[in-house]
Amino acid sequence: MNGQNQARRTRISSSLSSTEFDVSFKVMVIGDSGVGKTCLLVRYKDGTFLDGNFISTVGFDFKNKMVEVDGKRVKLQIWDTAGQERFRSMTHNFFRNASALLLVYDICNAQSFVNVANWIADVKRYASPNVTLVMIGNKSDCSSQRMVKYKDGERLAKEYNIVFLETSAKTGLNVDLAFEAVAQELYNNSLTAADLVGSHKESFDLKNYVDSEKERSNCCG
Amino acid sequence: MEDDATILSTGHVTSSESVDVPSDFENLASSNSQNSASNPANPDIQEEVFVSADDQYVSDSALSLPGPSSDDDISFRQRKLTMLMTEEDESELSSSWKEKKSHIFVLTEAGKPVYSRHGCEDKLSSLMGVMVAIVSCVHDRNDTIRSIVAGNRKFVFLIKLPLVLVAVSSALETIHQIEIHLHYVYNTIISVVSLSQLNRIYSTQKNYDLRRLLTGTDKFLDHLCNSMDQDPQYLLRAVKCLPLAGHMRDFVGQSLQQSKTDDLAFAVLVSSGQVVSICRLKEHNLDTTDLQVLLNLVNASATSFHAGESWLPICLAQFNPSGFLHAHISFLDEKLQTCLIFLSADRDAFFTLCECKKKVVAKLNKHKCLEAIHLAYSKADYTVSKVGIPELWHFLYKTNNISQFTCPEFSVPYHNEKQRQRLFGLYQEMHGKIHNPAAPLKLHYSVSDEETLLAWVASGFELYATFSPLVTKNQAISAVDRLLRWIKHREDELFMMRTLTF
Repeated sequence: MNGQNQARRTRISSSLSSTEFDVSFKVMVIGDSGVGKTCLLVRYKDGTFLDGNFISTVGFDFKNKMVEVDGKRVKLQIWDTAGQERFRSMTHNFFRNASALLLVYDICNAQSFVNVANWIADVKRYASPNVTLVMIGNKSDCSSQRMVKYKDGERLAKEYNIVFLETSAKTGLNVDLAFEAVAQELYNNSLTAADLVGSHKESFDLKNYVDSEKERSNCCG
Repeated sequence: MEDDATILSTGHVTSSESVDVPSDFENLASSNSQNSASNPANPDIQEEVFVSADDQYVSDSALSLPGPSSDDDISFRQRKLTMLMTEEDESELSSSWKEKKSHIFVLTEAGKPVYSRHGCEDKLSSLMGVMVAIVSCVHDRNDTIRSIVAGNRKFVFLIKLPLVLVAVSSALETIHQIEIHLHYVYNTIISVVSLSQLNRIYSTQKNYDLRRLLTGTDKFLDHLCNSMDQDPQYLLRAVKCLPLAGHMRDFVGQSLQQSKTDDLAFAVLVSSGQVVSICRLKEHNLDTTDLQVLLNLVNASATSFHAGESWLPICLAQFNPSGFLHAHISFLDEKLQTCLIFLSADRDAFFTLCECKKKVVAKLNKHKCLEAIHLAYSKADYTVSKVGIPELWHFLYKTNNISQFTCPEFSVPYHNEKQRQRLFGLYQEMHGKIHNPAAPLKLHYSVSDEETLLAWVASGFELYATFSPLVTKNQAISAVDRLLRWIKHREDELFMMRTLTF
C-alpha cells in the first residue's frame, strides 16, 4: 500500500510552461492573520522561507503552480488570502469558486485554533458542498512555543471529518505533501466514470494517503 | 484660515506642576489674575497659547472674561496636553518619543486610539483622552477647534467624525500644510475602510475599536507619514512622472488603451513610484489625491505583493467615498520596480483583468517599452547640471493644470541627508509663505548665507528655485527664464501631457 503510494506520488516538473495544462483547479489558502499562509505558499512555490519581519498580505495574491499527476499536467491556481477581518466578505465571495481550501492555524497561537470552527462554519455556508478541505497546523518547528497539541488538532479534524496535518514552512515539513495531495484528490475527483473504466485504478483516498505519507515533527506535544 | 480667531492667555507651567485637576485650577486662576511674582512655585517656563477655531465666539468671551471661566478649562487642557508632550517624568513616554519632530495621532470621537505615528497607541490613551476633551470642550460652544500654537509647537486638529486626527509638529510647516497632511492620513484610512462603512459602524457602535479593521495597514500610514516629511509630491499635491521620451510614453499609453475591457475603469503604469502613463474612462477622472493614496499603498507594500498578481479592494475618497474599487496589482519585472495597476468596479473581474494584463505586457514588449522604462529609471533622475545654469542648485516645478511636478535629483551641496532635509524645510517654508491663506504671494525672493531662494506662482505653474548665495537678483531672474524655456522644451519628456481615455 505504501509502495503504491510512493509510486503514485506526484512529480513536480519545473519545465512545464504555465500555459499548457490538461486540467486546472482553484485552491485557496485561508486562516487567521499571521498563521503563515503566505509562507506556506512561498515554501511550496519557490522552496524558500520568508524569514524576518511579518509582512501581512494585502488583499489577495494569486499564483499558478504546475504539478503532474498520473502523467497529466494539473495547474493549481492558488489564492493566498489576507487573514484580516476586513477582507472576510471578499474571501467568502471567492469560496464559491474554489475546488479546495487549505485551512491554516498556528500551533503557537491558541486563538487561531479556536477560530478554525468559525472558518469551517464559513466554509459550510459559502463554499460548494463537495469542496476538498484540509486543515493544517503550521509552525510545527516551534515546539517550545506550542499552544495547540497535535492530538487536539487531530481530534477536531475527526469531528469535522476532514484531513489534518502539521506543517512547517520554515523546515518544509509536509508542505509539498499538503499541496500535492490536494492536487491528486482534485484530479481524481475530476475523472468521470468513463475515465475509470479499464484503468484498473483504485480510488484515491486523500485521508489515507496523507496519513501514510505525513511525517510527524520531532515534538508532538 | 480665513476667519480664525485667536485667544491669547499667558500662564505659567512648570514640569513639576501637579496634574490633579482641582488644585491645578486654583493655580491657573491665580496665575491669570495675579502677577507672576506671587507665584514662586512656577517661575520659569512661560507658554504662550494661541487657539484658533472656526468662529469669533472663543475670542470674544476670552477678552471679556479674563477670570477663571470655562475658557480656562480649555487653556488648562491645552497646557496639560503640552505638559504631557514635554514633561520629563511621564514614565510611559520615552524621551526619544518626545523628541520626534512630528507626531500624528488618529482617534475616534470616543477617544479610542486608532493610530499613532510614533510609539504604541495603546500607551497613549491618556494623551488621546486629553485631545478628545479639548475637541469636545470647543465643540460644546458650537465651534470647531482647528489649531493651538504653544511655544514652537503646533497642534493641528482635523475633525472628520467619527474620527479625530491630531498632528503635533515642531517643524517649520505651516498649520495649513499640516492640515493637508492630516487630510492625506484621513484619505488613506478611508481607502481601507470606506466612508460609508465607517459611518455605518459608528452609527451603531460608538466605542468600536477601528484597529480591528485596520490590521496590517500601519505600514501604509507609516510610509505616508515618512514620505510627507521628505517627498515634495505631498507638499505640492502633484505626482511625479518618470522622464521618458514622448513617443515611448505614447506607445505605453496606447498599449494600456488598446487592452481595454468593459470592467476596466482606470489603468495606471508606474515605475519606482513615478507615473509612466494613465488611461481612464472618459467620464471619470482619477483625482491626484486618489492617485497619491494608491501609489503610497503600492510603494508601502511592494514587498508583500511579490511577483504574483494581487487583488485588493480600495476606496478612493474623491472618486467615490462610499464604495470600493478593486485593484489588480502586478509587477512587470523581477526588481519590483514597474507596476501595472488596473482599477475596476466589478469585484469578480480578476480573471478578466489577468487576461488584460497579458495583452498589455505583450504590447509593451512589442514596442520594447519595458526596456525603455527600465533604462529610464536606472538612469535615475536628471541632474541640475543638465539644465546648463551653473548658479542654479536645485528646483521644483509644478504644472498646475495637470498636477504634475518635476525636480532634478539632489546634488552638491545637497548631497547628504541632513542638507536634503534642510532644503526640504526651506521649500516647505517658502511654500507656506506663498500659499498663506491670509496673504498669498506671487513672488518670494530671499537670500541667506547658504543659498538664495526664489518662489514664483503664475497661472500655469509654481516654481521653487535654489541658487548659490552669490547670485544677484537680475541673474536669478534671467536664470529662471532660461529654466522655464528648458522645461517647456522638454515638456513631453518630463510630464504626461495628456491622459488617454478608453
